[in-house]
Amino acid sequence: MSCIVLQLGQCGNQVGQHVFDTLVEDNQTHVNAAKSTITNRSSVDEYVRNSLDRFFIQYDNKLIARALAIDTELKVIEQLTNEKAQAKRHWHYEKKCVFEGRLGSGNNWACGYRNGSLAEEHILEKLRWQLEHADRVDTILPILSLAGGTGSGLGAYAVECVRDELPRSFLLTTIVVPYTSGEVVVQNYNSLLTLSHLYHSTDALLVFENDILQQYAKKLVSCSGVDRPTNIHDMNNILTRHLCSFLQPIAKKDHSFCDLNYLLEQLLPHTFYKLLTLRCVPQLSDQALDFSTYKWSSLIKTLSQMYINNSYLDEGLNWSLKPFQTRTKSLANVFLSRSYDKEDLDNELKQYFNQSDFYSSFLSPSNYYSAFQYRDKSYLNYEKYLSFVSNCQTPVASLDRIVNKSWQLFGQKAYLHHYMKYDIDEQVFLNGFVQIEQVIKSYNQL
Amino acid sequence: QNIVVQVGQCGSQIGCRFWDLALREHASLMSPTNAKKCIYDASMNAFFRNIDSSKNTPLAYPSPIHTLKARAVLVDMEEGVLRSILASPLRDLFEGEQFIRDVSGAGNNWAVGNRFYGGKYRNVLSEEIRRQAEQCDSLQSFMLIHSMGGGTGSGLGTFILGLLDEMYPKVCRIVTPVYPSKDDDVITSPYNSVLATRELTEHADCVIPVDNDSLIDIVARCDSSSKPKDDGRHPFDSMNTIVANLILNLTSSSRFDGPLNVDLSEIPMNLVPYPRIHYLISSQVPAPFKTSAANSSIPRNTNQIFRDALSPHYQTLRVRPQTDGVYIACGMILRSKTIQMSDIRRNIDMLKLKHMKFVKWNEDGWK
Repeated sequence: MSCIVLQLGQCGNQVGQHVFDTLVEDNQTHVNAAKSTITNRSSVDEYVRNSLDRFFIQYDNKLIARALAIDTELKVIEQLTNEKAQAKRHWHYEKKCVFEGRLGSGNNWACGYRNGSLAEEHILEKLRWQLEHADRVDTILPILSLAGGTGSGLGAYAVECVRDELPRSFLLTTIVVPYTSGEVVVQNYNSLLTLSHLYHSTDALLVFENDILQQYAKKLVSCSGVDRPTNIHDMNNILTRHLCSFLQPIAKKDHSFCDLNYLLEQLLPHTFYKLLTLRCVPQLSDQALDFSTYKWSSLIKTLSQMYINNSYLDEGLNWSLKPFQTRTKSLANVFLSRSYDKEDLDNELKQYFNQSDFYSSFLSPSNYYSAFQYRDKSYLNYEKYLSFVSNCQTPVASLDRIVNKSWQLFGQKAYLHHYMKYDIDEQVFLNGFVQIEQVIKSYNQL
Repeated sequence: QNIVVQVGQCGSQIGCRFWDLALREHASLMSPTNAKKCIYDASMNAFFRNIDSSKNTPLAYPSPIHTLKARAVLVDMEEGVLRSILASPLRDLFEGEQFIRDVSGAGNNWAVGNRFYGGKYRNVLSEEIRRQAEQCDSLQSFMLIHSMGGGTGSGLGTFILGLLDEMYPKVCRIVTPVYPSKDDDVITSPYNSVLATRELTEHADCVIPVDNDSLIDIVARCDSSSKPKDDGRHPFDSMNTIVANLILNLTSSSRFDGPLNVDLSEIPMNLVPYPRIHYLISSQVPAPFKTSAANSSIPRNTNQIFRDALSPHYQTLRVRPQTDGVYIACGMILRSKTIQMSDIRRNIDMLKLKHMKFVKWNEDGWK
């Protein structure tokens, strides 16, 4: 069962490229090779095979990424398909699956949306090419940012097309929420329109925020001892690391590998609650990895405190908060643990996460969380890695901010003429407002 | 691609500097010794065409450079300036049809430039513009350069603007008009400027006005090589360099790649909230002159770049937005190898807090 990645816009393409790099890197790291016994080896081989099958088309000795790279400007795509860059990697993009426009979308959601409708045929044709080269496609993974023109506008259109074309596949969209203090002036308009269109086409939205990634990157860079400012590369690094820990194969209790769909099914009990967040521990820079060891219980405890504090970082946590003071409630949680040792996490998880305060009242304790693990191989260089995916109220704060700011601008009718040029009128905006406010309200009622 | 339309004496002179600078910029990216590396690539495609002059056929990119032709239309109603361009080393950049000229000039009269010459040359102009546009496969913008005080620049320049609006309404029109200084030598310049400004408000997508006074200030402060001239003449060469650099840098992100690209159409999208409010103030740090020990404009550290960019000393227009006014939106284009995202973030936060008053409904109006 394969997954196809849709890289939409500059952000999507940069992140997507990094995702494939990280997947390959993970498949090749075997920490502590001395520990691998015979049974271990076959299991690890199966893991690698599973992962490669999921994300790459393999023939001869080459790996072709199961991805569509779509952008309306030339530059980023040229970087991806650059001959020199491809030679350094073990995998490459299929030329037929790359779509590039010429003019760009000018940070204009309406322009991106219209570019999408013009490019629909091409995109679907490339999608079909990928589908033909996969035995069974279960999940489609669009990656896009909310602030720009292409990722948001064309991305929204593309996701709608894909939904029409493949009504039964899972669509897990990864979105990057822009900085609060603005990287694009009309980002709030763009984010609002994208979210409102995406919300009914996609099955799940995995939310990452630039603010948080920036903080995280700053922490890592300062810990690594090198004095340099953080850049977008660092932030992309963190994002892909988190994302890949979710995408790599994982097994259920009975050691059989399960699909991404199975994980998603655990997380989405209701069609109206689609926002997912990803928290991972440990949070270390590369240099510190070699020197740190952790126990599962401390990792789980940190994770629970992060959850209570409604934060993504394990710094600055208020450890005195008790579970009933939790700042966020969730609908479902999934734990993915990856390491070499054979420990079982059930007891610790039960101790910290079986609190009814964490969850909304209509859930029964058996549905609180599910745990999955892979015990024969570690993730990248981490000795133990715990990913925590949760369907909770945390992203609602940023949605709220986006709606408020857009409403301010909308009240002054500022910048609307740019959108009207492409037939996006006030009604579309108002629909967007209504939809997102509904989402915010339903999450707040949990 | 972008097409540059330079009108009038001022426009032509700034245009010449611009082409000179553009060639230098691309030349500096290529190694001078290895001829194979001189490739006509996507970034040159924005302003130049590559033509095989023996067969007179255009070459697509990437291809080795043969003969470059600029994507430009040069208009002047007097012979003087155009003739000097033809005598200069830049003459190979232009084909004969790209020059549109007349003999007698517009006599510093907007009406003559706009109505008389407009009517007379309307067909010729639209033909030439169409010819240039057909040679582009994805035309993104027209960049119009002219002065506001004279006759040809303001009159015919704004006529062309209206023509572009009519012929190509969806292509972005960016205008860099040069407003006259307080002691300008043209007596009717106020009339010309006002009449032309009305046309700019109607037809342009984005106007970046430039003021002769502030250019003189910047030159006086930053360029140590130009000593103050006793005969009261302005250092036009250096002033034109500033404006030419402005236009070049605006398009730099759409030509070269980087971690966060800014396309030309994003500039009006983000900075123009209402269709008629499209006058932008621009400033460049450091001022683009040859470095010398006395060049005081080279900033001493990263943070200072941001502060200087907002200071009225480096603006091309003499206004003080920080003390007198309110910002609607603000955009920054950075070309650097060393400045990173976190520097930008930090400085934006600092600047917002201390120096800038933003309009209430767009507190985070940054690009």
